[in-house]
Amino acid sequence: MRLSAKGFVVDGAGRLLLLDCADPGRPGVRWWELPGGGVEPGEDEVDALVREVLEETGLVVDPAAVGPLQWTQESTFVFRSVRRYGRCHGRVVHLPDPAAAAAPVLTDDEQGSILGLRWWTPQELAVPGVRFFPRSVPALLPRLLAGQRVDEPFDAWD
Amino acid sequence: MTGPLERRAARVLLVDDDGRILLQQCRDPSLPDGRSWWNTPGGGIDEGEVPAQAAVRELREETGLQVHEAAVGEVVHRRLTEFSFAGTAYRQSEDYFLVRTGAFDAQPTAHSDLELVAVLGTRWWSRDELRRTGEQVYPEELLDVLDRLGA
Repeated sequence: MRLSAKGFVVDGAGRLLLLDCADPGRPGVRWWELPGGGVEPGEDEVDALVREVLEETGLVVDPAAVGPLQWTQESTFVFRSVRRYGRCHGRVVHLPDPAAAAAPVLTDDEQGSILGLRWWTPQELAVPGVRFFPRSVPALLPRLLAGQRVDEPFDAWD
Repeated sequence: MTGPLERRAARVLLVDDDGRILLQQCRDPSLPDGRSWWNTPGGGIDEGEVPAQAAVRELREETGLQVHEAAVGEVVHRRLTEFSFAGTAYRQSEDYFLVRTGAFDAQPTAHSDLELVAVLGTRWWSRDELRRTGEQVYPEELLDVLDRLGA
């Protein structure tokens, strides 16, 4: 099962960074996902998170700004017509004044899948009807920011 | 006597996964009648910008959505329009780009002083709502353009 290091990246105004995602295997399906991605063999999870955020968004994160492991979940979903199983480890990252230093460097799998990004206010996150990965993002954020540890049950995301 | 001010603008047809399009409600603060209309995100092209760059910048400023320049693709519609705003007459050539996104609750992020008084809000419009509305929507040919694009 693939392990992904995911970030709840929050700016100085308390807004959460989410990626505008699509599945080339399912045209028209869109969702908003936490940045972060696969941990390479032997790689530290925090290093993987810092690397993935840079690749996906161009944002530079100081490893010292990455908080402790606070959220875990295993899930299954279909992406590019393949059923996947994964485990996510989430950490809060405080980025008071985000400025992209570089253009994103997307992998082949990410091209056509990560199409943009947006910083969401808590009010925007609370509006129903938006598809998030993980689906619990709006409820999770305040709990994680309050320092809680949240281990969620398995989710069949699709 | 001088003619209208020539201006080049880039505008974005922002379409969500339900096929709705994001429009912003605008008014002219120099007119006392309180009349408002709806148009697409977008605005003037700055010096040194190509149209796609202006589209990306305006989208970020007006909706918070940050996309890569490649995501805006080619110009999908062009038009020339003449209007008066805040006491100035403009002749504006507009390049339209199509950007698809997941739905989000759009709150304007970085408005200029003028936009703060001129932009009243934004909302997503279904195709049916566009067909039925009695409100003024620009560009007037928006429905035809969306149909042509299959958006």
